[in-house]
Amino acid sequence: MPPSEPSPNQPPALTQGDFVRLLMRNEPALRAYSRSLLPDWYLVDEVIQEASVTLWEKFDQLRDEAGFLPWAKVVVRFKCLSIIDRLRRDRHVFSDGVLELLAEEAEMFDAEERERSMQALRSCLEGFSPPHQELLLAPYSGEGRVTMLAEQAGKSANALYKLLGRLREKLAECIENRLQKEAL
Amino acid sequence: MNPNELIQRYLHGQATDAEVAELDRLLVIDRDLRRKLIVEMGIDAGLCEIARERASQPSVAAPRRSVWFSWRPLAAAAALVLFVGGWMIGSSARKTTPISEKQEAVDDGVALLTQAVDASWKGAHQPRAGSILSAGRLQLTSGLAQLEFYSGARVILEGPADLELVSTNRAVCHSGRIRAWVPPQARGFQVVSPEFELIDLGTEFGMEVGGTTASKVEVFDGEVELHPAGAGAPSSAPLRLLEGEGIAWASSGQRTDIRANASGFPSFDDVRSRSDQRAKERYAAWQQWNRTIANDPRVAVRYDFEKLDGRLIDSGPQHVDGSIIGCEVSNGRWAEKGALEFKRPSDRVRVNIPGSYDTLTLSAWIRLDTIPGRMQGLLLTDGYERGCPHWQIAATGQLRLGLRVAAPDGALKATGYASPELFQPRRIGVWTFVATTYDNRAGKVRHFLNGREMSTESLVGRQTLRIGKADIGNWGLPIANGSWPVRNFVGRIDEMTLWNVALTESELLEIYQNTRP
Repeated sequence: MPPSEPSPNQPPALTQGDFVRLLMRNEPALRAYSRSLLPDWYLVDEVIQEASVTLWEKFDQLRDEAGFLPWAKVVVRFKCLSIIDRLRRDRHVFSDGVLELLAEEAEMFDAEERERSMQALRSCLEGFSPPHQELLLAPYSGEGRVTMLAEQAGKSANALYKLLGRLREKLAECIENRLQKEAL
Repeated sequence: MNPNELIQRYLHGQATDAEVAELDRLLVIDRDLRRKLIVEMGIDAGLCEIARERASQPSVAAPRRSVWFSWRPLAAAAALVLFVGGWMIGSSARKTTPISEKQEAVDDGVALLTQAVDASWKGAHQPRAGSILSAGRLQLTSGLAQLEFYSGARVILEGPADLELVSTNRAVCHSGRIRAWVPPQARGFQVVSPEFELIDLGTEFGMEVGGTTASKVEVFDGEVELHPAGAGAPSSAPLRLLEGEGIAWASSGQRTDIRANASGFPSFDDVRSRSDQRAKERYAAWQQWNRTIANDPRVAVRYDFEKLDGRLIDSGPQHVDGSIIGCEVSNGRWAEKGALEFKRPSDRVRVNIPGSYDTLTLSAWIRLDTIPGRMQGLLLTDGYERGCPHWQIAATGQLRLGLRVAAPDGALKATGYASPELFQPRRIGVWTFVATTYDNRAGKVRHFLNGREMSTESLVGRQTLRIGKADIGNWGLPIANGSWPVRNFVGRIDEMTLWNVALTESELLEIYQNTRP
């Protein structure tokens, strides 16, 4: 049978509206996934933009909604690897072998697990003092934000990054404890 | 610095090149650390999401908008995608490439590095003779390198030089001296300098950027066309230079006609003879090392692939020669060095290696000539009983030691210890030193590439290894009668050694240094 002929078992074709909805719903997961392969958030933005266009171009190949995320991950992974290849000449980035291994590891995070981790993160973050919360969010609140906070506090940026590192470790511990308790 | 600190520095974009390299090395061998990094990345993504939410709440004093807030809101993104999509439907330009094509191995190379004499490169990526080069900057700090573009153009780089490969037929010379030979099939080969764009009309020429004059071109044979570039260049007609002619640009923009002097640039013969000379020296050094290592008490079996007359001679203490079936006698890491080329599914070397080993190192110099895609045998025992090692390259490009262990119910279960995916397209056709160590006492299997540890794994179930009848480069006589899976190695092998100890990284690095091409 030629592949174009509709079969009675085939679900109805996905529409443009479906695409927008699926993209919006899965965007946080795709951003998190590409973050695990890329050295910074600028590149994540670039990859997600490029990937959205590719996904749209090839959307007619998608058969059902459940296939969206795995398929999108393949596209995102491909974009990440090609962007990293471009970076490779100018700066040190992870080797191909490590990227493969990281992608494999990141693959194991499903949407449900991500949702639970996100909830744990929200409540753990609330447990920190407001200045510490501000510092934890500073790296995502604008370029040079950490340095600015350091200037305000009269400390070196380096010292503040060290504090940030310790806070992040505490945060990770808190999240892990919370998830473990849930699992019991 | 402890691994957690490294991760934090990496996350916040503070890690230096050396720290990224260190983290990379640790990540290869430590799965827990990889998980830790992925978890941290997840937290990073979560915090980024929360920061975006808070920034969009008007009640909270919004910090200066950052680049990632400027990432256009999703609705706009979706609208744009719809627009692009709609346009594509309108112009019926939608591609129908199947998704599976993404997974097909792709070669994004534009040129091949054919010779490298005393070459050292800027940056972490150090290409070697045989390496495929992708588009991008190639910075040679010293030495000579010869490139073959896929279009057929050949270029010599003399260090220090900075050449940017753009495509199979175009390069940008940022600085340094190059000599190019362009056969008819590569006509139109372009080299760009800050002052002009050179289009070759089938020729040989030399070019220098950033020397005593800003740029200079000399034509040794044939003809080139120069299109002045840059701000100072009016839309003048292209200049044509014929054999023996040359032009020098001063930084002021002043042009002077000069005479071409072919001997002022390294010639292809120079590169060849210097590279041959270097190879002779390396080979002579290897021969000397080869004589001493045969008497090393750590050697159990050693095949140096030197005299290949139907037998593969074991220069180790036991003299267990192998017999060569099929295989073409070929040359190895150096032109004079013997090697066997494995190509057809029947090609193999039959060996029968006595003894049992609680510690064992398998090492070999190999040149894999095909993208893996299926298992390829390096050294495989005929059977697959307990203690029979299967040393091979997996379909994924991983170096793998396959062993069978007894499951709780007594049945034998296949298990394997694999390295990361080492044999990527970039490593195809390049001589590579692979080694795997087995240590039953310490309970570890480790894989090494060019002397560097790539992975370490704990043994599942302890066993003493024995080899007996086996194949090098194939798996010929497996357990079942009748047909068997094709596992032949495709490429060349020019050295293989079995050591009765589990060599350490420093020992293997030393061996690598003594034997590298």
